[in-house]
Amino acid sequence: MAIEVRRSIEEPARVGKLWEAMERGRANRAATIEKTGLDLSAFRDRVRLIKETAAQDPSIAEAFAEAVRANGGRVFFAATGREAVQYVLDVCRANGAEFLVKSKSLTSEEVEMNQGLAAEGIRAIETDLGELLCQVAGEKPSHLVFPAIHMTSDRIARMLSEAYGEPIAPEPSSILSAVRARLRPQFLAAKVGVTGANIGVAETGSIVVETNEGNGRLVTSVPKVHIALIGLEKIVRRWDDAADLVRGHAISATGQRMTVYVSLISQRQPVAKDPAGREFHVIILDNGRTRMRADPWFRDALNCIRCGACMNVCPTYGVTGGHVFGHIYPGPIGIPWTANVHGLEEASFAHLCVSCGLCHEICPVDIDIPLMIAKVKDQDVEAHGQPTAERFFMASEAFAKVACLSAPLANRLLRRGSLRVLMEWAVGVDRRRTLPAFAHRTLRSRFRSREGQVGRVGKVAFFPDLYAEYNNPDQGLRAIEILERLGYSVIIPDVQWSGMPYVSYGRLGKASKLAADNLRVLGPLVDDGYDIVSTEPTAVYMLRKVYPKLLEGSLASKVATHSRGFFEFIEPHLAKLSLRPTADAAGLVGFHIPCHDRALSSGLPAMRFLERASYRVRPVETGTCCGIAGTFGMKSGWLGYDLSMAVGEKLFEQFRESGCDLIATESSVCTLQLQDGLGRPVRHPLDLVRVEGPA
Amino acid sequence: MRSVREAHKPSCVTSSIGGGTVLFEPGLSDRFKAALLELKAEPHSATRKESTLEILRSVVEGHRANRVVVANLPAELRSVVSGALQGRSVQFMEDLPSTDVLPACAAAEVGVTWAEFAIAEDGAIVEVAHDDAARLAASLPIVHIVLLPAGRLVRDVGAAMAVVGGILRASGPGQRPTVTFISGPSRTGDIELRLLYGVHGPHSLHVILLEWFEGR
Repeated sequence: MAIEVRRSIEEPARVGKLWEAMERGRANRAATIEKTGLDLSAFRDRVRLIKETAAQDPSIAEAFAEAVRANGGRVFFAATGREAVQYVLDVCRANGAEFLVKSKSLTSEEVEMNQGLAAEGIRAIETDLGELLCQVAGEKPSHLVFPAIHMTSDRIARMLSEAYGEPIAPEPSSILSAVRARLRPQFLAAKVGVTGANIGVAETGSIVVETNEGNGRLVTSVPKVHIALIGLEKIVRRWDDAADLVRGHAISATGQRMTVYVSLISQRQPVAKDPAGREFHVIILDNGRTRMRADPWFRDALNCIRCGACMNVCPTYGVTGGHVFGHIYPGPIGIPWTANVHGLEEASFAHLCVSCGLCHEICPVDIDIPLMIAKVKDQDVEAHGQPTAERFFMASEAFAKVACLSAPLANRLLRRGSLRVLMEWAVGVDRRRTLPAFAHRTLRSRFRSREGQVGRVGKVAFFPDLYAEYNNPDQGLRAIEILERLGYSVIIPDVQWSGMPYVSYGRLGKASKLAADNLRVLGPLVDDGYDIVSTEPTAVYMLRKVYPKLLEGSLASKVATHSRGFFEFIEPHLAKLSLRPTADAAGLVGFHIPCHDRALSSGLPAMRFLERASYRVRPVETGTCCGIAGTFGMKSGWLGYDLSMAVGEKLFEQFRESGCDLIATESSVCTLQLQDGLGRPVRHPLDLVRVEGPA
Repeated sequence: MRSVREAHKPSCVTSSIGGGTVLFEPGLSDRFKAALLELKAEPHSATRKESTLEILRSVVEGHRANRVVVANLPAELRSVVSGALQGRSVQFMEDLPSTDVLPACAAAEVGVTWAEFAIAEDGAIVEVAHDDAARLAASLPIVHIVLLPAGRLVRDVGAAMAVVGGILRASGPGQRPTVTFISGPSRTGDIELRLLYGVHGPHSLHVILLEWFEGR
């Protein structure tokens, strides 16, 4: 896989186009949401409820099948992909069809329909332009919504000129005319048309087929026989449920308000009153879905509406593309789907996921994709073993303890080229990555030897995580001091680190054990009136978002409810403090929002904190991750450092062009990445502000 | 801005489509036209029967088209279309033997069909077809002209889905029409993300809002 990743990173033209597609996808989506005044969180709740009900209730598919039959259609339940393809084959043979026309259907790709038909002498002609181009090129789609985004118009023109035996100019409009002219006779001669279905509606036995190009209209009207292939999780009970899905597909996929052609098909219609030979077949596909429905780890994947929003935000997909970051289903949601319908062996691209969590944030159905990916990694590690570097980073806390004890020496050694070469060879930590220095005295040791304040406003348990404890106790103490100024009594509880690498590297058993240990300490504190506060966004993310998923029960959710990021926690009290810049002049701060904070407060309280200290603050963002994602970018080679820097490059560029005087972020690991990428110091907001008062 | 005409209309228009009574919201016309323009569809307002003829004639002339197929129109409008397009080949799909429908639609440059109602905010017309001749006439020619009673507008896709759900339920098993929301001409972004029109379906979509005709 390293070779494939390297090849994609070194192909800048293709990467640029994919990145542009993703940026445009995100921007259009955001613009349409704003323009339509959509209440996104209410919308997500509604869509989630609709999909959850649909995916979990087997009686809906039965009711759907009955209604299709009542309308005169035929229904076939296919337990496997092979059965589905065989059914299509049988229908083609019964109708004397040597070829069929198809509109875009991911489900037909899942069952590898084209290959199965070709082996039996039936040609499937893709009619969606992007799918057609992939078919002519003999390549897999690289993006869910834009399958041929990896091809330039020059290449397309050359390829089609050769395939069609006529010269085609490389202008997109010439390509379009050539394709229209070429496909038209095939549409007109086709006896069988195959489509997928975006939605099935049980109450009237109908399917919804959405296409922009109009090929879906032709595939479902010209041929006498229409076969629709639908995954059983796509069927909803009522039409009321379909409206939000139609809206959700378009907005999340391309930022359109609505797909150009939304066809609601319940049965075959006659042509000029003649119904002869016009048949409607619906194949309801299981292919592992019933098993997923029963699996608590993976049932959430059935809620997917196939909009592709998650791949538009995934940092490493953006650099590697769907051919590397995918099997047949690409991108983040492609990982659990691949593992379940094509097998774990095909899902090893799971390890390209850096656990930034953004796919969960953008998902219109609120699917916890990162957690499912962690589970796939877990299964894969169980089956195939774990790279040394990942084992090393999962032992970060033990390493940090030792490094602190011998700090001056350890720091000198870690700066030495020879030791870093050795470390790269022995444990796979990239020699080019600057590692943070260790403090001689830990935060806890310094905290114990100082005089604490007893406050009357409330009680805070400060969660240091690794960085504040072992690398930068100054920062931790500064935060604690501000909390005390505001009248809080502060303790540092006897917790371990938050343990993100266990999730990133798929050791969920260890992650759960650590979570349970930490919660055993934190739970009684919450009962005793403590709030849990941390300066590390990843720690808050773990406490708030991940622990409750790892451990069911009230303890985790209770602690989650009482855990806050430092700046969010102090924000209501800021008026009591006097904030002044530590810098000579309060200039323009370019602020990087850590991915894990996007699930929490999106960096807003920290930015407002800086603004109150009279800085001008501008978030500098690409809309995706900076690339380091915890320790991923510390691993050596193309599957670590190089991929991480390739992801970061766009963000580095934006910072270079931003004209900002200072760079700030809250996350310790994002700081390392930005410093390495920019060669400039990156500061924590607390380092930029002198806090005084209250009087 | 609401036109004087709209201001004097009753507060809502009810209509019977496919067995159910539908409430249409007044005052959505400008919004609908703006949405159409944004989607590169072309709205036209026909205040009278005569102006409908003029619009039809000028649209067809503008595309230098000679062969026109017509399907799914209310009977009262057939004479309007044939009157407007004298001297050209105008075929009504309902009059043809079924085997001639596909070749006729494939050979035509313009298809004229009917929309039962439209969705204002999304610029989508709603086609209700009990016969696929209507869908063939609307999707094979490079130009699609849709006739729509001006008052039949619902606000958004949620309202539209409620209407359509009603139509489909009321139709009964085996009698259900194929309903299509069409928002703009056929388009793709598959080549280098450049937005191109007229891939497989029409390149141009004209929507003529009939202010003088209430529908069938």
